[in-house]
Amino acid sequence: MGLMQQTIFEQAVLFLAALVVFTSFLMLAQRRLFPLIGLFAWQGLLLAATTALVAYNRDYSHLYISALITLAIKTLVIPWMLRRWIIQLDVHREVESLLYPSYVMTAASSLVLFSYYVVLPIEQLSALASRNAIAVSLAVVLLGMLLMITRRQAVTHVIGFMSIENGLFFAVSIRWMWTN
Amino acid sequence: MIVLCYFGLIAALLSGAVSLVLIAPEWSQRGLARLSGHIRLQSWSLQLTRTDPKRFHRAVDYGAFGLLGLSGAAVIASGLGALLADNAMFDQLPLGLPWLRWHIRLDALSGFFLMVIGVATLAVSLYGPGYVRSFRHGGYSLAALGFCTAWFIAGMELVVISDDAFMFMVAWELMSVASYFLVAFQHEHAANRRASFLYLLMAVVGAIHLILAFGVVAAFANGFTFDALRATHLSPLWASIAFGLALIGFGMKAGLVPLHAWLPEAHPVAPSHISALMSGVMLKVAVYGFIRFVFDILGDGHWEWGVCTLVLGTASAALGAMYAFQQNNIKRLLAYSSIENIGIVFMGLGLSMIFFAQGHRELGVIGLIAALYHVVNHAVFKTLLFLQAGTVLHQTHEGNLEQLGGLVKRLPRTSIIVLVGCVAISGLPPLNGFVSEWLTFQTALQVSALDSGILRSVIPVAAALMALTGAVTAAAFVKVYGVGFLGQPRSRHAAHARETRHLGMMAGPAFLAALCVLLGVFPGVVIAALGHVSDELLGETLASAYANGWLWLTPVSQNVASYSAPIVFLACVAAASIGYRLLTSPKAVPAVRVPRWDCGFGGLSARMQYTSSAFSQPLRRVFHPLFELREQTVTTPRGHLLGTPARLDFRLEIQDRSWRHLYEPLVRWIEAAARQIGRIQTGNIRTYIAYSFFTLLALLAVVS
Amino acid sequence: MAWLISFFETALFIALAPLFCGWVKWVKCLLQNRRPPSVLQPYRDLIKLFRKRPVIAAEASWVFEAAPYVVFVTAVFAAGIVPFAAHHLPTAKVADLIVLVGFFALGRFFLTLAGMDLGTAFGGMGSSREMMIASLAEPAMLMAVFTLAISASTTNLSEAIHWVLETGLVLRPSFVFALGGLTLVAIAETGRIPVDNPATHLELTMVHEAMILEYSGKYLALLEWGSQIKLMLYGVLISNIFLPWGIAEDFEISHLGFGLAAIVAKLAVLGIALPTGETLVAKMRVFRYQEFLGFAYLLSLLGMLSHVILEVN
Repeated sequence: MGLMQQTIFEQAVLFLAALVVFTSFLMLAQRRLFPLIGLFAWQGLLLAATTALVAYNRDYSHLYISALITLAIKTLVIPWMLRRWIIQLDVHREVESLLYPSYVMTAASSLVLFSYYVVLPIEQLSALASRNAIAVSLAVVLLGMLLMITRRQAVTHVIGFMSIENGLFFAVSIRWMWTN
Repeated sequence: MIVLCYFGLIAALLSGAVSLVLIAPEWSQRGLARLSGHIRLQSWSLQLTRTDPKRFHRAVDYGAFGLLGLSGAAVIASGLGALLADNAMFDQLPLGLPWLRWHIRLDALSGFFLMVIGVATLAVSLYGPGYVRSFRHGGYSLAALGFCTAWFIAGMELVVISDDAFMFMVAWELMSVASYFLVAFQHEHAANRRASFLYLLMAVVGAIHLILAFGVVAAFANGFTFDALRATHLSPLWASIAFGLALIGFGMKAGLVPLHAWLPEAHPVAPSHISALMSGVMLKVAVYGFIRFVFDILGDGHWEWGVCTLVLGTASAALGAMYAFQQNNIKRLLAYSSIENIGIVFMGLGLSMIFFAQGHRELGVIGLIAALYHVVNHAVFKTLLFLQAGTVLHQTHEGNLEQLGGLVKRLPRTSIIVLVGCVAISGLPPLNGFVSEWLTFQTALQVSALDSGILRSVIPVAAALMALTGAVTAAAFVKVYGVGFLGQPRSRHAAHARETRHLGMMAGPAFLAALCVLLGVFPGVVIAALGHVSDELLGETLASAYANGWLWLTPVSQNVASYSAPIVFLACVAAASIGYRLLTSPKAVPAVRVPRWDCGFGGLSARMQYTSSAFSQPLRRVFHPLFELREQTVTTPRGHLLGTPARLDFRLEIQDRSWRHLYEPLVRWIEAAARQIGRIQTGNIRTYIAYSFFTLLALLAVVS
Repeated sequence: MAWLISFFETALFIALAPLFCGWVKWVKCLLQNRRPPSVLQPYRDLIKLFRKRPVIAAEASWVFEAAPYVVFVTAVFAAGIVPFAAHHLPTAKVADLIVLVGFFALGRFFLTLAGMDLGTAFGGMGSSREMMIASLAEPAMLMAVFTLAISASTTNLSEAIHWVLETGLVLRPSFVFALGGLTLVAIAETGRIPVDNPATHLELTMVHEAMILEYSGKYLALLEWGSQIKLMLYGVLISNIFLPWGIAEDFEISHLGFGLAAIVAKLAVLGIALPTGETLVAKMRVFRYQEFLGFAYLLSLLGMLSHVILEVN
């Protein structure tokens, strides 16, 4: 079953999944704090959009609430609070030095492949698309961990941790797309 | 066919014998004169006594190289016959062990490699007489040079026609030892001695792996002939062990990273025509051995082997190109570029093994043919470039790019031939290097046929690295040509270089340049011929490649990919002629010649040009983790505080990472182990007697 | 007939390339609050240069004189391969996407050699940097091409466009990433801001201009025209691969006319997007190129990964 046989909504969800991974990659590459928070907000926005899309497509009204909460907390409140912290702590000028960014990027792309490899044998996820989406969320979790490993600043650690949570949340919300 | 092949071998050996005359030229001249007098060839005798020693010397050179050329031509003919014949030919020679005669087999695969050897030998034999003349003044033994060259070539020819493990190893060692002497030819420099020792050491280690690899297979077979080895079925574990040993053994000879350490040391120090043979042909003999062992003897492979080969090939290609770009010595640069090309060959082989193991036979064939095509291409253009590097060395006595420049005006004909070689090796259309790289890319693009998602995403990454390799190689050869041949001469030698007067030194490379064009323009013909090899090894040909006529190259089908080399070439020729018309049309306004722009300061000197190490600086900086760099800038200030410094010195050393991370720990480990073992050698006679005593006791106990 | 149309199409392509360049310049001037020159200005420049008496350095060798022809001819070849207003043309069969990359490399090879020919520091600097950009851009470009080629299982441009048209509108994450990667590569390869500035002659920032600094007259005209064709080639490539709708599928006059109108419209839009981007960002330092092109490679790689993970069975 390829992409072409799926409905436009399913395609859109998979597309958003790819964009979520992309934001994770961008977070890994970003050395400044404010843009990092911006990326985190974008990831939250994508998450909310995905949830809302699933809710619309499958007609689950409770998912709308979830999407709204995500939008409020992850795209607005948390980034705003983080910003305030950074300004209060006066660390907003700090640029983290990345040793060998290309190695980190190579490791990150291998992690994406690895998560795909891990999810492949799971039989229960019979719908292929959902299995792939699970692979994507696992990849987001692993990339979040990688972000925490490679950075020293506390704020970055917080963002990495919340990006892990984003991955888990993403897995849960897109599961609704392919379950009856 | 086999007779022709023997004829080639005998001609090569005879050439060695003729060279031996030069051990004592006066004595042999007199001896020959007397001999021809005895057998009633009075006129010869007279002529021989009359010719002056110099001319006699030259005649011997021509004789030796002429025989080599004869050998090359014979080998090409017999290889072509074997390649196009339907069946393999067999023979036995009454040599070797009492119970194991030397088995000879001439099939499509060996025929193909015989042709590769023959082409390079032919070009070298044209080139040689003019080139070796310079060694006569250096007090070198030309007898040793000619003798070892002949045995080296004969050894390579024997390797590809041997049909049992014993003869294979004998020929292999013959090739290695003869080439060792050739590398050590200019042994007065300590660096050369070190390089040749390293080469010998690694050749021996490689040979041990090969013996073990053959041993593993032979342990399960009844006999040492390849037929017997082919007939055995190994368990996957033993087969994988044999494969690993063969990969190390042949990979060491072929120069796969990280087993390549000897190559950039040994190739530059050998005389240039020998470097051409080593780089152009000897590495290919190692590829032959690998194909013979893995595709033919081991037979059905596993896809993991393919992945190993692909990874090693990709690493060799990428690192070889990176290091090549950073070199300033032409021959060293070419040596690293050989590593890169061998990497591309192994990538093709690895892809072929992966596809084949996964049951896509027709795709596996494309990979194999791409690899073989690159083998012949690399043989042609690398031989060409090494020979021309020899010409540059011969005419300017400089191998360092930093001292060259402006040769395009001093050596106009040479520089055109070099340009053809540079375009071909950079993999640019419409020449031959492009075709084989294109085929390799096409093989890699067929990944969607594979089931495994991991392979589907790893193979494109390897292919992207190959694209990087291609671009860096092009950069390296822009550097060779741009710094060495264009610009202004950077030294007196370069400024006063003159075109060689020896016709052969031009003819050999020109012949190869013509081949570069032909191989690039008629890929259909070459692939049709290579189909015999794949048919023999894998039972498939690539008929689809030329199914749409000789104009079109369509490896899978016309809808998937097509390339028409003849049309592209014709278009190039047409465009070139129109351009030439425009350039020289009488109506066009003639150009004004003025001095170049010097920013209004005046006095541009050759030292203000971009140097070779400056040219490669950006990539050096981008990929600095790959290199072991030692940069040093020394500023000598002027007396007063202000103003520019009186002198600036910049020193740059680039070393292979593999030395520090692989070889030096290995050496330390071996030395430590040797020290431990050394403890049993006390130097005391009584201890040794005690050793013998206890050994005797133990043996007796075992026997009883 | 088909050959005739494809020759005509190539000629049209070459003729329109200066117009596209003029359009880009016109939009850029407007965006930067300057009075734009006529859209036809590049034609006038070319004609002027062709009429001028060329000045060549006394130190130049034949490579210097041959290089502009090679650069121009490779650009024309490439223009012949890329489907412009119609596809299924016979010329598209002569060479595929990888050959196209090969042609670009051939032109660049000679251009960099020409930069080295006189032995001036500028030329060497330009060549050296051009080679760095090429080395970093080529893997990214090939990866983007691969994503496309593996999805469509062809490297033939015509076939790939046919495949995209046939499957209709599908939201492919891989294509979006590949589009991003290819766009960045195109910016780098055509020497636009932020990688290179086509309008500068400031010593330390130029790359492409540094190599052609010594050219004048018809040689310069050929080089300029070649780079205009290259710019338009990337535009056509990007718009026809990723948004091929409108391209003529047969050789009826009305379809061809519609195809021509469609591609002109797409190029006009691209010609607004490019100068807008150039106006918004500043030129980068030389050693930031690796990050820029590394990002292009990452995008293409993600395209490949999302193709493997999300799109196929």
